[in-house]
Amino acid sequence: MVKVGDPLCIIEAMKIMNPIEADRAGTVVSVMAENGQPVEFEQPLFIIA
Amino acid sequence: MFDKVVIANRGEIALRILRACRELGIKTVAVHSTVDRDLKHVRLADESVCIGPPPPALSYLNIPAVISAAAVTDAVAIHPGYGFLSENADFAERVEQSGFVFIGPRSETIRLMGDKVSAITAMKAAGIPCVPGSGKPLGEDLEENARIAREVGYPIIIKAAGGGGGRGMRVVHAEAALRNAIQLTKSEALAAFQNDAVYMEKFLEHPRHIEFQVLADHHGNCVHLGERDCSMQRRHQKVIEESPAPGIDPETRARMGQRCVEACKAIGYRGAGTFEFLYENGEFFFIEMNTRVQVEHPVTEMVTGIDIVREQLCVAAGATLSVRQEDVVLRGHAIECRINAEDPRTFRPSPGRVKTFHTAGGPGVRVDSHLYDGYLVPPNYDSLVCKLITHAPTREGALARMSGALNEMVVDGIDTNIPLHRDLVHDGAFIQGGTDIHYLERKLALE
Repeated sequence: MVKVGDPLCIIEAMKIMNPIEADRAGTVVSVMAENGQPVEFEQPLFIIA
Repeated sequence: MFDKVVIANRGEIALRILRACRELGIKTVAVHSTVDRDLKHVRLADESVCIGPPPPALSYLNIPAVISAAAVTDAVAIHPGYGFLSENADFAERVEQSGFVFIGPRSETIRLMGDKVSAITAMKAAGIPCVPGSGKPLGEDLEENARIAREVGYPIIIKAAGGGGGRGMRVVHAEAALRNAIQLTKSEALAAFQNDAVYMEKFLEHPRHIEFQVLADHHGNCVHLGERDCSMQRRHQKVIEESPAPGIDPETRARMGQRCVEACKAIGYRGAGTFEFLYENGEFFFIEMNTRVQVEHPVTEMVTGIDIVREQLCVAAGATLSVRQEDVVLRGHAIECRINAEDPRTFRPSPGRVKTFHTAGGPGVRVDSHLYDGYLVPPNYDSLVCKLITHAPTREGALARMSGALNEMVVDGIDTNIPLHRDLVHDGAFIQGGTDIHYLERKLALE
């Protein structure tokens, strides 16, 4: 269960840590990226239902 | 001279080192991570060795991998550039123990300067003015710490001995907050630097950042190449640098430069190095020494005509310095803008593919960059992608050339901070010169 604004993960880009927050409340039903895996713009990371 | 050198770095500085080697007839080995195969210097190097995956800890910071690359290619020396392993005393020591030349000072010197308390102690002993402070690690006795703080005078700043480069610091404005600040900084320092020693300094409110470049050989010769003003900073990261520093007269330059030279002789320094000072109300206060080549070295090269990376290579190979102090003359004024792959307003990093890279040119314009059309800027490393440097007989002229050069530059496909630089070269206070280290953040906060 997450609330709006809860930190979900940190994306590191160019030595800068960017916390990614939940933009809606709900239950995380799927985590779609592994820790340490490179990710791209527009790539889904979590499914919150 | 060396037959073959390993370039243990990436990006623009790796290319800069490769160019100096090429001029001296030295063969080059580029070591790189899997994501950096297409870096410009990797393509230009005589040989290349992939030393690991993208995370720096597994490649550029992997000491056995870098030293093995030197061994398998029969290289004789390793140039560490800046960042990564450049100020790692253990790396320097292991390079030398493995029978290679480390292009930089002795490992003992790196260790001495890496601990900020031992650096200050050594500099005080060598006659370098330091910020008033505890001069030693703070103990557990709160009364004693409070007494030191009163003597120094609030506001004070608590700094981690193992820190540097603007990390591990906390400002204290009154005695009530002192105890907590010391405890917090200690625990942060332990987590970040595996060393919980902290010390105290007076916190200067409106200082400028002025630093002196030195060069020393193995034969007891040492010169200074004047100063740079690097006060235009954001989050302790330099944005614009220039040489000479506005308002520093030749007598002051000669006096401070000479003190740095004497300090180098006192600690047996060799190679290129930089003494960093805070400058406030006409007084200099030593903060730290960088025992490596710096990002902003080109502005000094432009005004002195001395190739700092070439000198590093030559003195590491045992040559005497190519210049004596009386040969060092500052001609004109040089300015450098650091161009980063980031949003110019939010400063969000912007890695990605560069569609078009068109650089500026013309008299007095220098571009140090590894970018080219189609190059993919990876997300794994620092955002510095280009250094734009202009030189002219006067500061006004260098600024005018910078303004024109910034308008000519095209970096398409990724965001860069070029718009911020275009704004800054027309900023009234910057044009006047002598703004302090807080100026840029204050200006950005107002917008």
